[in-house]
This record gives sequence, structure tokens and C-alpha cells, in this order.
Amino acid sequence: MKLTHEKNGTDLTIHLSGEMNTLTAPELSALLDKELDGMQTLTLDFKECDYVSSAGLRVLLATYKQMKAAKGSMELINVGPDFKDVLMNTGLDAVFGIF
Amino acid sequence: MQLFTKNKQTMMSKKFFSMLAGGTLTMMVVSVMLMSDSIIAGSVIGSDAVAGVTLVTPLYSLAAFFGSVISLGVPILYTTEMGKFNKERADQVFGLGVLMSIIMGVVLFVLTCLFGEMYLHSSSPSEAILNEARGYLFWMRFTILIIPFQSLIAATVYSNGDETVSTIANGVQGLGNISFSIILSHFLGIRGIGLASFTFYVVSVLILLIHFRRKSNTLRWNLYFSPDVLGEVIRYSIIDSSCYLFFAILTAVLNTFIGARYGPEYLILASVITLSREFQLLFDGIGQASAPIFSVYLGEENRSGLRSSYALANRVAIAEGVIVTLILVIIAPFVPQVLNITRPELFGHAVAGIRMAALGATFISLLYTNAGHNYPYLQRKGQPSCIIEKNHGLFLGGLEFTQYKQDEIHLDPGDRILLYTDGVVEAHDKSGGLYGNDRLEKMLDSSRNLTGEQVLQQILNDVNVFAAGVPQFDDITMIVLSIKNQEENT
Repeated sequence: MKLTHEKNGTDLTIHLSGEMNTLTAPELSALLDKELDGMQTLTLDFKECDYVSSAGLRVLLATYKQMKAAKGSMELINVGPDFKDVLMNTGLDAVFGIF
Repeated sequence: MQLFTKNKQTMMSKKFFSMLAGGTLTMMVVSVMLMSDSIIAGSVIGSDAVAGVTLVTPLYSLAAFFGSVISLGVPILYTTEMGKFNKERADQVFGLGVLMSIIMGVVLFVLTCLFGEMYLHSSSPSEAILNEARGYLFWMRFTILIIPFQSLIAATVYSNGDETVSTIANGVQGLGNISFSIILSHFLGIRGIGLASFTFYVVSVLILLIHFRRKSNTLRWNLYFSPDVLGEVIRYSIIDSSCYLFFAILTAVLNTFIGARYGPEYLILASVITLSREFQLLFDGIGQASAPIFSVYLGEENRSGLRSSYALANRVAIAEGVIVTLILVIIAPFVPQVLNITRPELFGHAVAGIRMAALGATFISLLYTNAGHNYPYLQRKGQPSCIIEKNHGLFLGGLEFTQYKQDEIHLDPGDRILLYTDGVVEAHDKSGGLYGNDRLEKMLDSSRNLTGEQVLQQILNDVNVFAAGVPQFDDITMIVLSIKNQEENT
């Protein structure tokens, strides 16, 4: 999985590309550990992301909790139909802001 | 569907069945009081007295409704707060219950005194029935005054773990009411029956107060009010307590309709239907028995305990529904005799009415919520399979304080439900294509005449053919629930 990110004040945007599975989800986790501190808005762009496994969902949920505790916000953009199905099946569509 | 398993009794199930006896007795009190009053009125005084009791029943049920709004919600919230070790908040909940039950009793008493007579005339009763209803209402006004407070104390003492005092109080109240009604009705007529009811509500409260002297008591007398806590109490109780509101409306409508359409001599038939409904309420102790167990598990966030206690309550509800229906169907010809119904055409209507009302007690339904699982399939006899997509919530353990919505679907014999994990629909082939819901649905529809076990095998075979030996990374798990006919083995 390839991750690129950009910061604009307290806004952080991360672009994901490839598959986020058991092997690659820790990469996102490590990036967030490094960059999330002090951020108020997190945007995750899934335009180039083909697949998200349960390990990926775990990272997303943990990040959501972290943002909520910091009174910040998190949104997922360019979510494809397959990933949207996964989010709906797990009930996460009602938790995350999805665009 | 497997209704009974031979699993070893767990601590939870022992507690449930121990509480079920007390809970059933608690719920029986209102019904026993109503039923016994009608039966004794019929046996000792005559059918006009039974119709008189039925005329007053909506007022009594209305008091039971307001009483249960508080008495069902307060113990649930109280035990939930105790489960969270929040004693101060638990005390406030109890204090609110005490205050609201007193206010409700006084308001209902005043309204009954002011408008009771006007209400009795609304069913166009004969002079004889009106006099009986007036006589019965005389003491019932005082019973209505005390019902909300007695219900609250009975329910909180019970959920505070004192099944002994609670059972004694309910037992004495039921038996005392019956025996004193029989004795007093010979001297005071219908007024004696009303007096016995009131007396034994008071006696019940006095017995229940013993609990407050015991070491195990955690309830602390106080008065408290907060609109938020009241809202929360109502939220927990409104569904269960609404059965009394429904009962009040049903009886009032029956009285008015039968009185106006067929004349006062037919009002006794409203009593027969009412009696049948009261009999069904007799066994409604499952909610009472489950609520404290559910609340403690909710407070502790013990989801596995919650699941198993919920499953047990459902099994018992189905078994009780079947038993009550059978009893009502069998005893139907004896009820008109007990109520002193002598006219042959009324006798036939009464028996038919009880048997029709009995059908309402039998149901098989599925109470469900969905915590992040793939939508289950429902297969009804003669219809294509469809998914159950309502109330889909977050997967368990995802976030703290997640609330799940519950829904209910009615199931008939022959209906089937397929539950499956995402490993089934996401099984993939060599090219990465997914098995998918369309294939699963087709397999399900093509296996209508197979047994549940054969359905599972057929789907599994199809998944294996599709995957063609490609290793799968997720578990493939399925369950089929089949509703069988009663004569089939379960």
C-alpha cells in the first residue's frame, strides 16, 4: 500500500492506494501515530484503494475514537461501492462521515 | 427451531427460573384481582354483577398502566445504575418512583371521583348493571389510589433480590382477596368484593415494607424529581406497561360497542372476552424475571450474558404462549358456567369468544437486532427469499455505549431464516471474484424442499465448487432456523 499525505494547518489528508490488509494496515497506523497529533480534521481519500480488510477497519475505528476524544472530525472520501458495502455490513457507515 | 436444549443449568438460568416464579406472581396480581372479582361476582351475585365489574375494569387497568409505567421502569434503571456502582443515581431513581407513584395515585383517585359516574353511563348499561358498577367502584376508587405505589414497591422489592417477601406479599394479596371477596360479597354484595380488593392491596404494601428492615435492602426512601430521569424511566417501561393501556381501551371499547349495538343484556360477553385476556396476562412474568438480569448485564456491559439470558427468555415465552392457548381452549365451556351465564345463545357466544381470544396468546416471532452482520435471509413458504435489513447496527464491541434497535418479525410454520458470516458471500475464486449474495439467494430459493441441514450442505457445496480449491482467508459459517409445525418434533 502506498500512502501520501498533506497538512494544511490542523487539517490532515491521507491518500491511500493499493490494498489495506493485515500486512499493510500497520503502515497507516504508524503514519497516523506520527502525524495525527494536534490535528482537528482528518480526511482519508480511498480513490486509489482497492480493498480494505478487517485489520484496516480496526485502524479506522481506533483513529475515529482518537479524533473523537480530541473533539476533532474524520471523514472518508471517494469510497468505492465494495468498500461502502463493507462499511454498511459492519454498521460503520453510521459512524464515519462518508463522501 | 430448537426450543429446548439439554444444557446444564447455568447460574443465570437458575436465577431466571427462580425469578420467573416471583415475577409471574407479581404480574398475576393485577390479573388475579380482576379475574377473581369477576368470577366471584358471577358465582355469588349474578351476571349483572360481572358486567358491573367489567364496566369498572378500564379504570382499574388505567391505574395499572400508570402504575406500571413507573413500577416497570424504575427497577430496570435502578439495577442498571447499581450494576454501574452508581448508588447515588440509583437512589434518585427510586426517589423519583416514590414521588411519581404517589402523585399518579392521587390524580387518578380525584379523576375517578369527579368523572367516574359519567364514565359508567357511557356504555348504556341497564339500571341493575349500573348499580352493581357503582357499588364496585365505591371501594375501587381507593384501590386505584394505592395501585401505583403498591406496584412500585412490589417491583422494586422484587428486583432488589427479595423474592421471599415479594412472593409472600403477592400470595397473601391474591389468596386474601379471593377468600375475603367470597365472604364479604355474601354480606355487602358487590361492595364487599371492592372492599376486599382494597384491603389486600394495603396488606400487600405492609408485607412489602418488611423488606426495608432487612439487611439485604439497598433501597433508600427519598423523594426526587428530574424530567430527564422520568423520561428514561418511561423509555424503559412504556412498551410493557402499554399492555394495560391496551387492555383498558379494549375493555372500554367492547363495553361501549356491545352496550350500544346489542343492548345491556349482552354486556356479559364483554366480560367473557376481558376474562380471557386477563387469563393471558396471568403468565406475563417473563419480562419481570428478565429485566433485572438484563439490566445488571447491561450495566456490566456483559454482552455474552445478555445474549444467553435473552435467548432463554424467548424460549420460555414461546412455551408459555402455547400452554396458555391450550388451557383457554380446553376450559372455554366452563367459563360461562362460572360467570352464571344461563341463556343458551349467550353461552354459545361466550365459548366461541374465549376460543377466538385464546389464539392471541400463541405466537412465534423473532425478536432481533443486527450487530454488524450480513443481512440474514428470510424464506417464507411460497415466496422468494428476502433479506432482513432493518435495524442494522455497528459490530459488537466497536464503540462504547453503542445502542442497538430491536425489531420483531412474525414467523409461521415452514418459514426459514439463514444466518451466515461474510466468509460465505466473500468466498473468492481464482480470479478474485466473490461468491456474492445473488448466488446465495439463488441457492436458497432452489432448496425450498430440503431440510435445514441439507440447505446448508447444498450452499457449502456450491461455495466449494465456486472457489475451486482456492484457499479462503475467512471463516464460512451458516445457521438455518426452521419454524416447524407443532406436531413435528422440535
